[in-house]
Formats: sequence, C-alpha cells, structure tokens
Amino acid sequence: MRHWILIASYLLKDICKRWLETPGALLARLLIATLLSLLMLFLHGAFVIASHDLENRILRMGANNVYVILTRTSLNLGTGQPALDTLTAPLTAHGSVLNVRMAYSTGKTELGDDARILLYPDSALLEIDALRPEGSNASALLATNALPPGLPLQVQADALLWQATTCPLPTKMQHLADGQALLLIPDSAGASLLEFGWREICLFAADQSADVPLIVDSLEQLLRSEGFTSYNLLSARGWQEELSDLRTRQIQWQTGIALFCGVLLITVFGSIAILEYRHNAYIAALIRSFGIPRSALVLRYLGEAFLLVSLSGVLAHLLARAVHQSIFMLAGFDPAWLHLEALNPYGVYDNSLLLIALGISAAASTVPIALAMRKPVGQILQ
Amino acid sequence: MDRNVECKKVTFRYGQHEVLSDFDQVFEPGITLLQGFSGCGKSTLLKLIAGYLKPASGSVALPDGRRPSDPRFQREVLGFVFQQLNLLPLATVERNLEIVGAVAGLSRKILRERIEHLLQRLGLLEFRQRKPTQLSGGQQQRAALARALIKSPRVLLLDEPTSGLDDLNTRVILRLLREELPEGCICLIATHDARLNDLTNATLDFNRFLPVEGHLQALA
Repeated sequence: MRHWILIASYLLKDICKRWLETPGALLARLLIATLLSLLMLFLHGAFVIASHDLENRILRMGANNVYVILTRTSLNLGTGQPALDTLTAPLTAHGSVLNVRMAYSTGKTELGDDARILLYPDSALLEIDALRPEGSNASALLATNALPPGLPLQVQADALLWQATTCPLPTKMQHLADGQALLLIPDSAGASLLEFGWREICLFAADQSADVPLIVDSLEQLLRSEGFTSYNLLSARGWQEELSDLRTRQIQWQTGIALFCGVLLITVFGSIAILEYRHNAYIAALIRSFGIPRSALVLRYLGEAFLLVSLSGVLAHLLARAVHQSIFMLAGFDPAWLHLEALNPYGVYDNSLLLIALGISAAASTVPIALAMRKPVGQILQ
Repeated sequence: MDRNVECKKVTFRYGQHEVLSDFDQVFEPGITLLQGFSGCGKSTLLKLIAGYLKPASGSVALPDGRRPSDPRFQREVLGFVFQQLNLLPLATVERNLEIVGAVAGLSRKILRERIEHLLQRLGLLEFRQRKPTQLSGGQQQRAALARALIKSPRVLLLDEPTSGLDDLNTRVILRLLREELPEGCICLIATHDARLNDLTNATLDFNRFLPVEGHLQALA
C-alpha cells in the first residue's frame, strides 16, 4: 500500500510540475471543456424552460378538457342553427359537460378587480353547487384563487349588483378566466346582460385524455356540417403535440451536441495528453521498470483528465447559474420561468447526459496513452 | 540450475537488424563482465534478462523458476542501472531509494536502515535531500547504484555503470560492488571500461557473437 502512496504522490507532483511548466495546455483543456459543458447546460436549460412553459399551458387548459365557444349576437340569432347544448349532448357518454354563457360586459368587485360573467343553466346547478363553500347560500359565486373561499363580496355589472361568495376557481374554468375572477350567476339572474349577445361555451372534460383528439375532430366536423363559421374549438391537443415534438427534438439535439462535444474533448484532451506523454515517456518507462504495471500509469492520465473535466463541469455549472436569467431573457424566454428557485434546469440528475459525455471523453482521451505504453520499456530506456 | 540465469537460444532483432542470434549462456552467481564493441548486443541482453524487451525466439530462465515478464521479479528480485537518466527527476535521492524499496515490499524499518547504510557507503548522506538535477553525473550514478542495491537483488544488471565517470567515482562503485553484493547475487555488467576488469575473471566477450561485417562496421 505504501508504495502506491509514494508512486501516486510522485505522479501528482509530476502533474503539478507540468501544469506549471505549460499552463497553456492546462488552460486550453479547462476552457474548451468549460465552454462545451456550458453549451450543453444552456441547451438543456432552453429545452427544460420551453417544455415547462408548454406543460403549464396544458395544465391550465387541462389535458382532458375541450372548450367549444360560439359567438351569438343579435345578427346571427334566429338563423336556425341548433343550440350548443343540443350539439354537445352526446358528449355526456365520454365525460362531463358544462354549458354556460359568457356575457360581453364584465363585472367589478368592491375591491376594484375585474370579473368575467358566466351564466349557468339549471342543468348545471349540481356542478355549480359543488363549488359553493359550506354554509353559503348565495346564488352568485365569485370563482378566484386570489381570495380565500367563503368571502362575501359585492360585484357590479351594468346596473346590476350581486352579493357573491368567493370560491376556488375550478381547473377547467382557468382558461376562461384568463387571469381574472369569474362571476357565476344563474341564467335567470342576468338575462339583461345578454341583450346584445353572448358567447355560448361548452366545457367538456373527457374521462380519458386519449379520447380527446377523436372528440375534437368529431366536434369540428359537426360544427362545420351545421354551418357554423365563427367558433373556437380549444383543447391542449396542439400543445401536447408540440410538447411531444419538443421532447423528440430535445433527445436528438442533446445527443448530437453531446457526441460533438465528446469527440472534440477526446481530440483536444487526447492530443495534449499524447504530447505530454512524449515528453514524459522516459519517466513513465523508468517507473514501469520498477515493476509497476502500465495500467497504474494510465490511471495517472485518466485521473488528470477526470480532474480537469470535473473542474470544468463545476465551473460551467457556476457560470450557467450566474448568467442564466440574462442569457435566457436575451433569447426571448418568458421571464416567469427564469427563476432558478422555481425552475432549475442544472440539477445533477437532469444533466446526466453531460456527465456521461464528460466521463466518456475523459476516459477515451487516455486510450492513445494506453496504446503508446505498449511499447516495451527496453525500447525507451537507454 | 535454479540459482542461475540461463539464456536458451535467445534471438532478438531491432526491426530487420538481428542483434542476438540463438544466444545460449548460463550466468552463475557472482560478477560477470559483458564486454564488446558498442552495438554488439550487451545492453540488449541485459534488457532481455530484465524483461524490458521480449526475445523474438528462445527464452530466459531466472532463479527460482521466475520469468522475466513476471512483474514480481522486477519489483523484488531485479536491480537495474541504466546508462543514463536513472533517477526520478522530481524525487530526492532518498525518495528515489524509498520508492523502489517500498515497491520491493521492504518494511519501513529495514528500508530506513538500508537507505542510511547505502547513502553512507556511497558518500551521499549530505546529498540525500537533493534532486537529481542538483547532483553531478558521478553522484547520480552512485545514487542509481544505491537504488538498485536497496532491495538486495538476486539479479543485478548494470549497463555501463562507470561510463563517463572519473577514477574516484569509479573506485567508489567498484568498492561497493565488491563489498555489498548480496550473497548468491548474479551480477552482469555490460561495459567496455577496462577499469572494471579487476572486479572478476568471469568475462564474456560479446565481440565473438558479431559477424565479420559487424567487426568491420565497429572498427570503421
């Protein structure tokens, strides 16, 4: 054991001496490995942020939800087209259906916040009742996540005034709220708000998300065949496809860049290592002449390469964290996702591809040394 | 035969150039001088015995049935002094000896005693903390001999150990070889230094293995 310690300390001294003698070779390796690691970290970061943005949109929309929105005005009323609740009635076999109407005018709470107004039919009473906080019998509900549930608040729209109670905003209504509160009132309580028209909305939540694409296609065909031209058919389907594409591209790009960086690192580290070995071949042979196996000497080069790529990895990680916000803001990413406390794309597990690429490159860069050391000691020593 | 080094029909080539051809020889314990022109194969033979080169054909049998390719032979049994650049440049004289002794498996206490003894015998005590670059050629060669002897080798191979050394340094080395050579040690010295002839009568003239054209080349 003792001789291993002595040999290892000698080899360590040898490494330090060469670093001091040729700092350029050391810095070149550190710089290239750091920059390549940084490139991989930023690439991973960009994909993570973009994916997170899409995932969040899907979450807000609801992966199982489909929204059908028809615009009804005094101009297109009485065209003989069927009502939306009639069209969407067959959907009840595949999930829950909530038909509401949204008024064009908006309400104002006594706190000064805007609220969109949704009018629900009697058929939706059961579902709306489920939202009502315990002990409340108010007919109007103010669905918002910004206020605690059960809070009585006055809401005014046009000349009407409602005494509403706050309740949590259901996930499937988040898309309709679009960042505002929703005032839910019965059809009978707000008929005057619909004087000039409304948006007819069907909120469908499929039992199985796999059914959503087929249902969306069927609804689209149905609406066209009924002669509707101005409608919105919204679902997370497009984002889901985009997310799937993004993940495929992420794998392709990250694998490609990892390969590119790996080959570059192997070339740079291998070339410098073999140049240094040529200067040092006599000493390596002398140590081998004591009966030390050449694998121990290859380990010295392997250790050096691992040390340098590890240092570079740590440097790149620190650098990436330091400039994360500025870089991605410059690249046009949503600033909401650029706080590392909320979304950190630089975790060790997340960047395992980078670690693997660095490790393999470090190991592969010593292959030329291992081959060069096959030369017999007697052909090197005089 | 187990105490001897035996070369059996050893052939070695550097590329197309044959240096040794069917070389047969038994080396018994004691000092043997290998003498001959430069390039006649003396150093090559030492490296073949040490396992630093592999013969194209034939074999080398070592004491106790060991083989030159066995790393344990190189670690524990073999002492070798090269013509030049023998010492690890970043280690002191003492550390050079310590590394080889530790590799040979000597205990710390025995190693310490031997280092003191050999450095004292070779007049290197005051240079023990110096690195090779801070030593003269003669001091370096003495330190190299101390390192080869630190493990009390059973096979000691010296390649031109006095080449370029003055008489004083040569005398120190000769005295050490006479007095410190372990019992039963087979010591082969490749040299064309006539000052070493006093060491032994056992001399192997390598010139006789050279072909006529080799002689002419050497003389030219």
